[in-house]
Amino acid sequence: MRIVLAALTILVMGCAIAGIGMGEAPAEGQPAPGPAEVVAAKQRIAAGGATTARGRELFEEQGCDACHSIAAVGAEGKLGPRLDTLDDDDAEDIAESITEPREDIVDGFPVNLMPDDYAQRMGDADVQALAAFVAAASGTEAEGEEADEGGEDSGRGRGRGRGRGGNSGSGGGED
Amino acid sequence: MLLRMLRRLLAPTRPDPIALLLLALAALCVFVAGVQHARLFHRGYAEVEIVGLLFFMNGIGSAVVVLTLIFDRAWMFVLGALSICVPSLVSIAISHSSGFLGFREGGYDADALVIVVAEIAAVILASLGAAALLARARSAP
Repeated sequence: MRIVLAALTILVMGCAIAGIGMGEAPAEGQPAPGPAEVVAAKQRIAAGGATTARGRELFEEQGCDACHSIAAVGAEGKLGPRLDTLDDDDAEDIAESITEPREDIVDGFPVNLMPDDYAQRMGDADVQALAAFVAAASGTEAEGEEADEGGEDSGRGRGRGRGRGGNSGSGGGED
Repeated sequence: MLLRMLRRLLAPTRPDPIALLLLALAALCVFVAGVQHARLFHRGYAEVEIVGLLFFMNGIGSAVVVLTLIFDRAWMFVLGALSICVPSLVSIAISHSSGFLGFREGGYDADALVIVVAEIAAVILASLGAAALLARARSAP
């Protein structure tokens, strides 16, 4: 009896530890950007100037990288959606997702995992900087911003819809 | 004193039926929480620095602790169960407020609730089991 119990304990926990039958991370199914897209994202981030640089700092400081992936900066979080393949969220939409992360949740992701107090924790300028960084990583910068810079390369969707980018922003981390 | 405590910890203990029931239920709770931690490790927490590793170690530690009860080390089980569940509960609470090791969560989903309920139950049951063990030890001639 004792041996059976011990064997069962080891078997079940062994499977759990090895990940057998445990499912996968919510973001596992999201395709990562290709090498060319990663290079382009790096260029957009570098070209974004001080605001984007501050946004990148905040992305790490606030712990967003624990939950979200952005290949261009080596972030590999898998609890929240990828933030470098947003199709149609510009910086304004992304800022909204940061301050109100539960308004629009991407299918398959936990509803209340991302803290909803970033508006209180960060000033408006920091939220905008973080949003600008994510938009640069995804190539969905605001139209006005891009026009000012002479039309950089993003070439992605410009819609205001909330596609895969809902529940984006920075999640799961703290400073 | 320390040696005697260590000896008691390592010595096989045959709990009475009530203590055994309490400790067995505590072991079940520790096991459920451990499996859930291991499961979450593979469902995205592996990439969270340090916290992911702690989830993984919680799974391994829980299995070891359950095995100590199966092999009659009741006191070691009580110590192990409390050593895993109490810090885990504290970490969960901190991660939902100011942040734990740089990681912050916004709310409790079903997965987190399973862990919280199982670990609270494990702490209560293991403590009651320990009290029953002590009571028996004191009443023994």
